[in-house]
Amino acid sequence: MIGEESILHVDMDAFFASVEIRDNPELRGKPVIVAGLGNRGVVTAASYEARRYGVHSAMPTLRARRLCPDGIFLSPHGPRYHEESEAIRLIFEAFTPLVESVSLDEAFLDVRGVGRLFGDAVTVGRAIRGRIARDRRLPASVGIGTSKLIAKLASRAAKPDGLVFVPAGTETDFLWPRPVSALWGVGKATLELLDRLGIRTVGDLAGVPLPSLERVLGGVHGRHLHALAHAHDPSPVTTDRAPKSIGHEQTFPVDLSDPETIHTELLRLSDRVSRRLRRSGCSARTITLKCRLATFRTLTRSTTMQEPVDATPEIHAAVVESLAKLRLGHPAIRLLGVSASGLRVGSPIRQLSFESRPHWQAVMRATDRVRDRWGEDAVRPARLLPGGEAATADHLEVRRSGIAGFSRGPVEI
Amino acid sequence: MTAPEATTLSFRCDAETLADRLSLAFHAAPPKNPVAAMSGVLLRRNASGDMELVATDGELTIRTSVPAEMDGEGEIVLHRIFGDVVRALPSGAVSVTVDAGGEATVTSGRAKFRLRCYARSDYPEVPDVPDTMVEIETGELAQAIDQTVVAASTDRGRPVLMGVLLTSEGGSTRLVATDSYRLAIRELPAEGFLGGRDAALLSAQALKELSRLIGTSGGEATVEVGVTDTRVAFRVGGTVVIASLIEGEFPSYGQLIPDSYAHRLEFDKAALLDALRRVGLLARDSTPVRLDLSADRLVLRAIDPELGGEASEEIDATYSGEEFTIAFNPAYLRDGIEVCDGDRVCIEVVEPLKPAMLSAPGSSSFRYLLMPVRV
Repeated sequence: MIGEESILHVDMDAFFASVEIRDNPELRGKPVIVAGLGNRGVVTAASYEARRYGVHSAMPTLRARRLCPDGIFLSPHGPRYHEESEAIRLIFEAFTPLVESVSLDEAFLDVRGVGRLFGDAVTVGRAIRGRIARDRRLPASVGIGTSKLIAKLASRAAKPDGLVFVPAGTETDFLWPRPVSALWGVGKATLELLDRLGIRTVGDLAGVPLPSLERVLGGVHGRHLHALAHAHDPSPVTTDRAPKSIGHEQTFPVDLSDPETIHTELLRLSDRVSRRLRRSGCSARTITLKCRLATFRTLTRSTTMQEPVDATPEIHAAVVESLAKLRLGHPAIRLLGVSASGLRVGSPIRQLSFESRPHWQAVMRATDRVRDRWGEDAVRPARLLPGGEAATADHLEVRRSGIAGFSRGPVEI
Repeated sequence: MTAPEATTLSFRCDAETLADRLSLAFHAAPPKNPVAAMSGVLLRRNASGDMELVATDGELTIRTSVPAEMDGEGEIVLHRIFGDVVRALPSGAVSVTVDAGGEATVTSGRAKFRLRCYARSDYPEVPDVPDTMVEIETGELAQAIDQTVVAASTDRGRPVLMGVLLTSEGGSTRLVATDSYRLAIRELPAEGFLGGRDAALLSAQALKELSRLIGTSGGEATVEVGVTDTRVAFRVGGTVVIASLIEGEFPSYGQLIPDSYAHRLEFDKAALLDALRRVGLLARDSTPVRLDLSADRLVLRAIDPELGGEASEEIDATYSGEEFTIAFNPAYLRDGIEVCDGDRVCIEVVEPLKPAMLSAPGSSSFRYLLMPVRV
């Protein structure tokens, strides 16, 4: 789990103030302070211009007014920040399902395993900054490292509007020159205690033998800080909002009744669902078929798989079986839907069997690569090609695309 | 329950013995059968004048008996609640009388129950015991059954894999079972199980009952076996287990067994089972347990991506190969280790995606081949 440079910390720069400035361009370049305006109000965000006057968040508003008499003081617009935060989260989720929001304006992302789709962590970090700048017109800083601690400190170092990447193996070089207050769990009391002992930087702290640190700070706290000072932070990015299900449905312009056509449409939907499953790094235990008849009667039927699945043929087989169990006879189908639920993070784990079964995982990996690069139609089940209904779902065809190295015509796998 | 045929039957026997025999018989009859009467029990007088209890699921039948004073003739079928009733009675004698109206009255001391019987026609014919039964030594039969039935499938869609294949060659009998994920093979130095046949596919369920009967019979030294073209019967003491032979081709398992192994690891059975129990807590929903093999140690590891948790435990092991990781379904691994004889177990591996062999060091009588999990 540890050691991969896959953790991103994305921190919006002066978030509330930046939102206000974006929505009111006249404020650009001015010291903008978002704060509770009452006698006991505190500053919740300050633009970088205001920070030059020594204003920072959590400072009493009255003190900020004294430091920055020309500042533009605005009371916060909570709902707008929430909306904005939500929109930014959607940008993160386009890259990885593993998003852990810390607050409205910062989140940890784990981009392990998305390399094939989006490139390495630095490429993803740049892309995210680009998307936030383009789509939301807001500045964000990104820190990238092998742990949440390093990523968080890297984003701090990146501010404002920058990106800092700490390669694996250089964590302590990055960490040790920083003040001990940079570490989580070093509050005022600990800071004073350490200062009395002459421990000012993380490097100083790392040099203190663990037993001594345990004596001074107590066992738990001592061990915790000792680990952090040596860049050991095993805490994983835990997603607080895993998707519950992934599904697609389609209403047909003409009711479907031909079994072959129905199977083909189910394959098309299954293929979309499976592709999204793999994109979000999940596999599913339950596959549900939804079927609305011309009479508007809606039927659903779920199949719980023995093991989680993420491949098109597996999902297709499950919905075809569900359809058979509905015993519709000669149906007139208005709408079909396929959805995957019971999602778990990670590609399916396979109990291998003495009986040989198709290795769909390898096929799916290969076709995903082709589609990421050449588009969804570059390769698809032969049955989904025009006039391809005679083919079985077990055949995939590489479209005649003139791409060197691909064979022409149907390829049996 | 439809109107029963006219039957009058009454009997009197010891309540505790009857309760005990009823729960034994019910092993063959699951509580939920689409044919309601078949979840009940059939009572009748047997040839020796005792009362016989019969329960069946249509494939497996258990016939057992209780010494009783009996009057009248015929066969009656009672709801399985009769078992609960008898178990709840005070110790002593219980009397049951069935009148011509098909109602059974159960009395014991001052307690009295009235239960309606099922129509006899709602219950299947009781299968006969084969004419020829051969007496064989039990020896290690129960152990051999326990070692192989764990690997049999419970998937009703794969009836062939729900069986245990018995083959006899040169004075010994081989038991084999597989659910396609693992394969258990046991050589038993005894013959005669198959009454002159080369092979038979017996229901694992029936063999489990046989093993249980041998275990609870207080050490019967022999059992009787009879095999016909369609079924097999075992008699232990006063109880008979009858099962249909399973039809179909058992997989040719010989080719599954690797010719040789790259690495061999030996460890303490109890230590591994303890570690597996702990580490397995983070291997929910059939997530695998990884075995990291390195010089003279074995590390068990489970990662739970949903919890973001990880568990590991190291145990001592004799190993001299290169570092190697292989992952298994924890339940399948535990099954295999538990049924290996002795205090130590050896695991032989080829490569991470090839089957691994479990056995007791120095013994070739039992082998458990297990497919790994791809992680």
